[in-house]
Amino acid sequence: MMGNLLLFKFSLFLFITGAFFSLILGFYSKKFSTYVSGIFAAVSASLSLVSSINILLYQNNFTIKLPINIPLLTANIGMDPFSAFFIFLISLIAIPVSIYSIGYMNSEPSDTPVHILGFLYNLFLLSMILVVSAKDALLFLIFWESMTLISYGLIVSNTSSDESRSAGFIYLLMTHIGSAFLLFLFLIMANYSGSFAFESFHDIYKTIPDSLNLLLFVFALIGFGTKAGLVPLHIWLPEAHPAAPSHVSALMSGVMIKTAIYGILRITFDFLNPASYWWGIGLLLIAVTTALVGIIYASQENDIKRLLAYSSIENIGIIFIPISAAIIFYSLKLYELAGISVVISLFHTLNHSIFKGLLFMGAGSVISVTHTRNLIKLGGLIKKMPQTSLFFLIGVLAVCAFPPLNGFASEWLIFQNLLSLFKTSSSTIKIVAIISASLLGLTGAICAATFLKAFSGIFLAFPRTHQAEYAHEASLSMTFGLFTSAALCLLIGVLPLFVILPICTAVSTLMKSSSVTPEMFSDGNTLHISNIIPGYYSPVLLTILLIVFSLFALILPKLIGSKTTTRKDETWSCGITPRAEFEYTPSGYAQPLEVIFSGLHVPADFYYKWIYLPIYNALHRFSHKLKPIQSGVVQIYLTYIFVALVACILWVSL
Amino acid sequence: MNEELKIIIIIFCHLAILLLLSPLVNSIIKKTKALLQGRKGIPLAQGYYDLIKYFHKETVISNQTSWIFLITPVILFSSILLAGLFVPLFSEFGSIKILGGIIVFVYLLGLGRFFMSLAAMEPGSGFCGMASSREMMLSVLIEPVMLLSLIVLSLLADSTQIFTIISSIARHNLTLPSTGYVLAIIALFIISIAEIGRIPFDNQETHYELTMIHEGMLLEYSGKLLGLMIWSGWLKQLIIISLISNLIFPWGITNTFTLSSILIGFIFYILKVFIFSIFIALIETIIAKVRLFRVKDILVASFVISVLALILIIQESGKGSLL
Repeated sequence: MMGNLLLFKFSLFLFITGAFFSLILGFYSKKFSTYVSGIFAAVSASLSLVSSINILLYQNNFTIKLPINIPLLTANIGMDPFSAFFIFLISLIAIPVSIYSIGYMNSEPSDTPVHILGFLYNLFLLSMILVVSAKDALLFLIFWESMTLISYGLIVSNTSSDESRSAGFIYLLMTHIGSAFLLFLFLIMANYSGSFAFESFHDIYKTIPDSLNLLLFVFALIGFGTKAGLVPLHIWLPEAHPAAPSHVSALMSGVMIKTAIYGILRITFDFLNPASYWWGIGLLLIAVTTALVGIIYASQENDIKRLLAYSSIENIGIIFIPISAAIIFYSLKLYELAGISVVISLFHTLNHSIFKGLLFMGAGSVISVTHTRNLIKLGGLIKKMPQTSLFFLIGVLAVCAFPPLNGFASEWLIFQNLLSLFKTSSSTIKIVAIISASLLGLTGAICAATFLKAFSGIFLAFPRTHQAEYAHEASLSMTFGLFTSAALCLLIGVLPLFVILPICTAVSTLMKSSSVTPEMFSDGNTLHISNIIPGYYSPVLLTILLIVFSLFALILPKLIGSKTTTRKDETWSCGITPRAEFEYTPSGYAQPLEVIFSGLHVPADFYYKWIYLPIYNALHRFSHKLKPIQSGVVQIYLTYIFVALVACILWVSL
Repeated sequence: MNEELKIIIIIFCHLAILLLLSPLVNSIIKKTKALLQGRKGIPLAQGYYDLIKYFHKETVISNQTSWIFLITPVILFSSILLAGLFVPLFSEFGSIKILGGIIVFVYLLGLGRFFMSLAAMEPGSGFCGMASSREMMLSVLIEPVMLLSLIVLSLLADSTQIFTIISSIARHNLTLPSTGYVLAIIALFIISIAEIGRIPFDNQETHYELTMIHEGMLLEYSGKLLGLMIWSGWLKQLIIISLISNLIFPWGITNTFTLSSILIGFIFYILKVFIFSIFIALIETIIAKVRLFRVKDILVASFVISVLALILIIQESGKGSLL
């Protein structure tokens, strides 16, 4: 369909227009520039959303040849349903975040470089869309790098503080290590296929030796795992995400790290062939560790944005659990179950994007009116910011995976997925899978404690500082952004099958050998995966019954008792007038968890000290040894070049 | 009579039994404890008197609270009552298959607990906050073990529905007592005691603010709201008792819809619950409450028992894999 292609092209064009308009207009009026940036981004995101839905439903794949002529580069971008799902995800989050950004940027201090942020913001969205639609490895790397650099710009251009500069540096360093591995990966693959086009990579595993197959998988895992935040490659995440403006954090945590999920799935199931289930078991262990480490750090964090960043690490771990299951099933040639697992992981990816975007935006609203990220300095905001607190609570319930919200729907499916691993024949898989399920439950419980601490720290009881006392509700565009995301959390939670349908299409194109249909996930309106240990979950029925029982609980005391009055009075605190100092602070709240997990909760510099510093020292020693050949004399370098040339000629001629 | 009508009738009975029996079960535990300690104790109807009294009292709430404080009793009550539908009491008819299994059950209890702990943070009182923090710590320890032991049982029965688990244990385990099953039940039993907040994990009778957990979170509640909160606690206690007693002794649950079989099922159920309540009272009398951070050791032990149960079950099922 030509219309769809045009729509997509037009949305890409609008992103670029929006970027430059907001840059230029920013020199005249900052306010105008924020409006232009936000509105352009929202409109172009809606266009690409429509275009991706079109592809997911009708599968009119297309490719566009970019007008670039570089040798070796087939400059093709395009959408198949798998790419379209990620474009759907990016656009779906981008719309509320863009609207939110208008209010957020307007409430920033006047010396904020609003026009540069608006410019980079539009380009950032564009680069993410291009990453998932690139059809050529070199092009993919170019977009991947631009995405990294633009987000680096967004991190450091906000403030001139040392904190965000060092955060930006760690981010740049880590992601470049990742990119280096990706470069190796694609070079090796191109060496075997003879081209950089993704088309030539399909089924490349048939031509490469088995040992290399595993090596490529490990490279992909390191390359994309750095971006996603797998432990121990996660160290940049809690530094970089809080440093960016909140709407950008929402995009980075909600969407950008998901492009790594796109990459790992594309490489693993489209290009490579998971040969042994040990790949899956290894990844499952990493995934569960990531989830646990992420949430334990989050539970001890008092900076709301760092807390959310750590929770993103946890959720990346949770997303990787079904991916590992998929690898296990795939290697055992159970293609249908592998397909189901990938669908589940994508479903959680989508859900996490929505609720993490919501939570970051909510945190941003709080920060923009109180100017602090420290939970200890907040409190009592539920009376000052009623709407924000309601939407934030919905996000909290979703991230803690409570029924009937969307987080629970996907977490329930992940539990089913782990239980389905019990149907394989290996005892190792069975034991690892079931214990992982239990640890997933542990993660969920710590997550509940963590977000309870965060929510009560921000919104409940007494305001603990003046900043919190004189807070007010955020502007309309900000609450609108929150409202949209919160509504999505509820909607997808109650009607998950509407979203699972397009994901099935996406996965069917990714994995040629397994066609997944929505019928595998449903029994009428009930979630139910047919060929595993029978379990059912009917979100609609559950919601209806919860509402009915709540009404019953409202009426019951009135039926039994008499009409009574309600009176407000002071909190009882042993006869003294209650003050903010009496209440339990967020750090006190999390202290029992710290005692319990003192073994797992190592100081944050553990990873620096034991992993990164040794690598750094080894590199340093190595380059020190190389020092003698770098004399600085031109003649010597000329000799090197001459020797190298002769060596090359000899090598070619022999 | 058609099938749906039967199910609806049984579900109404199911809910009515949960609502009406829960205050009595709590009083039985209290009364037994008193008798064991040589006191006279409360009358058995005390639970009902208490509820009626609460529902007639004026409600006083703290200045600091918001709508969360007001909706929490309702959400707690409804989520626990809904969780009650997952557990068979006296008849297999009450099973709503599509509603969900063990995972939904555990997370529904979690939802209620989350709101209760959230509301406890509302008044800004140190005691409530302390109780809330400790409750969340306990839940972190309880939930994974509860999930693991229930999952082990569901692997035995090849279903995550509690109704199916219990009926299949009733059918098969008479001839095949399995060590894995026994260990999983032991783990679940320890967890159940923690879940309903009984000694050695929490003391419901304490009136010393610094040691309260469940009671501490209710400190600022009064009147109708307090009545609902307390009733929810009793409901949860009865649901957990029904779950564990039906798992240990899965017989006597009727699967036919005749008056006599329902009566027999009901009598069996009442007997099971009463015996179990007396057993809990016995444990409460002979064991002392452990220090808060020692609770971890008991719960980790029960985690290890569940893992053992899992390994044994995998051993027993042997090569007979289904794929």
